[in-house]
Amino acid sequence: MNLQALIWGVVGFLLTLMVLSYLIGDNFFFRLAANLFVGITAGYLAILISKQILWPYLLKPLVGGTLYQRLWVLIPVVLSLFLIFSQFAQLRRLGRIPLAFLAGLTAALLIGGAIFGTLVPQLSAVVANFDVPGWYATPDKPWIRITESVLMLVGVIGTLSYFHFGRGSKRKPGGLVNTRPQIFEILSKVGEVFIGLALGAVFAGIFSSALLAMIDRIAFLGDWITRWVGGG
Amino acid sequence: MFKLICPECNAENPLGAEKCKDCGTILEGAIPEDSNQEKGSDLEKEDVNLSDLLHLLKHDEDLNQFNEKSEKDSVSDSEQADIESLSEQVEEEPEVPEWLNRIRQRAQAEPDSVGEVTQKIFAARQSLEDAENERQQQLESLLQKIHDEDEGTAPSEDPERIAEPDEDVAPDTIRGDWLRRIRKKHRPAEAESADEILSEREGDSLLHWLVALENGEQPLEELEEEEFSKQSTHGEITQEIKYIVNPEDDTKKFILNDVKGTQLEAMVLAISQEDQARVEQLMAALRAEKSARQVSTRSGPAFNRGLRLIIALVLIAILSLALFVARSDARLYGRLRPQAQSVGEWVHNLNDNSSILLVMDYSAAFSGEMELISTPILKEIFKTGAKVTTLSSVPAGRLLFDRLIEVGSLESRQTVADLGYFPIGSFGAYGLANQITQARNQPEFAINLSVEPFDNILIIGDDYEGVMAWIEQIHSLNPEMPILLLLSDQAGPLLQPYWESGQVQGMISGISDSVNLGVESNESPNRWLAYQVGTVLMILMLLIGMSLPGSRNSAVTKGDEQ
Repeated sequence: MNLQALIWGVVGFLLTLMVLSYLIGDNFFFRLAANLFVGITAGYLAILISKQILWPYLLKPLVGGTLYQRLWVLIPVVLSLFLIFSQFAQLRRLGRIPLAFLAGLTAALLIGGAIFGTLVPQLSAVVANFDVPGWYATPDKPWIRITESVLMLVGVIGTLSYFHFGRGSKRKPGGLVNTRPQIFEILSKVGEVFIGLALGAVFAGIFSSALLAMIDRIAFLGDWITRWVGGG
Repeated sequence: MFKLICPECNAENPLGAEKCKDCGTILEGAIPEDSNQEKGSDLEKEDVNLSDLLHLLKHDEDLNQFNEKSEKDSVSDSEQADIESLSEQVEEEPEVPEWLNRIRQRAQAEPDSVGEVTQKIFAARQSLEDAENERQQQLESLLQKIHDEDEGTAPSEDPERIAEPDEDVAPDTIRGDWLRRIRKKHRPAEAESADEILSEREGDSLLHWLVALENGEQPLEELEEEEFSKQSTHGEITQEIKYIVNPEDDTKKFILNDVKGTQLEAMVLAISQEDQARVEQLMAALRAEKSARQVSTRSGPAFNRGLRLIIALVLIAILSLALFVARSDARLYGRLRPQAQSVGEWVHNLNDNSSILLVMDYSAAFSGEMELISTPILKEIFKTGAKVTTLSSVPAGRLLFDRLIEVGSLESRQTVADLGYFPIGSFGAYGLANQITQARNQPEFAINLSVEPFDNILIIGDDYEGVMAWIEQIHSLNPEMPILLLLSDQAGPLLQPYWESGQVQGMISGISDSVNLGVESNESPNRWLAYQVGTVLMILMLLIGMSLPGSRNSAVTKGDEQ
């Protein structure tokens, strides 16, 4: 074990113990480790953005690019200046321009991606499951594919019905009366089951990932102690 | 004597006249006035609530004292005569105007017409007056004793001596006094002194009394005694109320009762049951506040913390045993999921002409899991000699890739190009996909990545949202681009629909898929064993925690509190 590996091994060992000390409650060592991680991450991010974003895509074309490239880069430069000016009270209005630009662009990207990248393909997949010749394309248990297709359709409709808020509740003498059609009420109950199953699967996945992270840290501590004791 | 005053010529007209006898003006709507009173008195000028004024008159302190003294044996004959004359004066009050009659009848028939606030003010004032009278009597008796000792005067003469100043009290004086008091109440500037104003307003609000009670200025025992005394006189006062609210009684009797002070007692009873319940609740709270309590030991949180620490240490110890002590070659070779099988087939079909873009989209916290899943796949990719380019959508992406190379011992095999860091996943994915698909249409001055068209995109991610953004943007711009996913367990379930819909060519989710694929790393067997043991332990703990009675009770309590 060389000196560099030894130093960083000790640092990693101590930081791991500091984080694990949260088992006995919030304490100084845990907060020290958390602040250390936040500070290092912020510093690293600032350097990374300067080196990999600002310099190659902004400053370098501005300094050594062609006229067209400079004009092209001038747009983000002006928007960035407006964002900086928004910190001053008299020029606060200028900050709205880059924020509006960002908000509009983000919304366009996300909505377009959601529609053409998720909604349409997913609905097409649900419909495609009812391709009857496809059920019998392979003679091995076609009823399984039929059941899967029906279940998927029921799950999609039930989940969409659960989030159907077209008509709200009305207050009547007997209390709140839900004015949704009865069919939506029934389908939403079915949707609740599918949503519950999905959330259960997500919880199991999160739990599994956390367990693996813990195993990884225990393995790190054990390996480091073994190497330290063995002179590794 | 009430007369109608003409609004035009101010001439006096008899009550009931339709026109003025002097100028002939129609007297409809004219207010009758008492000719005996001074015209333009302050009382008439003030815009006051007549109902409240009447009740203030009824509860004039001097009149009460006067009546109380008249009931005592020590009252002199002259005082008795004054009272009788006053009563006769009231009885003989001629020609009560219609509006005053209506007000009196309404007040007689509806005791609550006075208003809740006014009733409370009267109730509080009554309690203060009782206490003051009691103290006054004690002082008088003490002074009497001192006086007897000094002059040897017989005690029987004392009441007369004390009552001497009252002998001069005449009805006119009384009336003038209460007029003065009314003026003081509505126009404090005419009060003689600030102390007088304060003494007048001392019992204006129950709030003062409650604050004093809470501050301990009025002991609870005294309150209880007062409550008891009120209860003891309840029957007597109830009779008075029956007498007062009898609709057949005329206004004169009502005024007489007022003079006797019974209305004041009725006001005390006019406190609603709700108010009484509030007072009792407040008193109970004060008793509980002042009662002796057990010192809380706060043993619960400490016990829970200790229990949690012990369970965590046991879990760590068991996982350590599974990791370092147990040597097992046991592997799970269950049914390989089709999406994982697709990844295996994709890797085997790569050749040295293939170009792969590797997107690093996971954080350092999940590096352990992602290394277990990704390293074997990367080994297979590097074996084929395919060209690999990395792109990071997390700050530490390139560092994590270097660690993957180090763990997989892939350093000297191949040179990997790096496209750098894209801060926002959606923008990066859109820009990359747009550049790949429409590179020919880009203006020549546009600043682009040095990107060549890729055959495949392999995304290594631990977060559902980041990977979804990449899939959405790339698929919407270039649906034919093959996308493969190496995911953590927590991101897998939510991204599986993209495989079901055919947008993703293959995916490996979690360590179980990796083990089933049979491309484990050297560390996989022990980690897999520890993972299985840890999973069983966690399930047991969840079941135990759910079955413990305390957990349900605490959950219900928290729910109630919220």
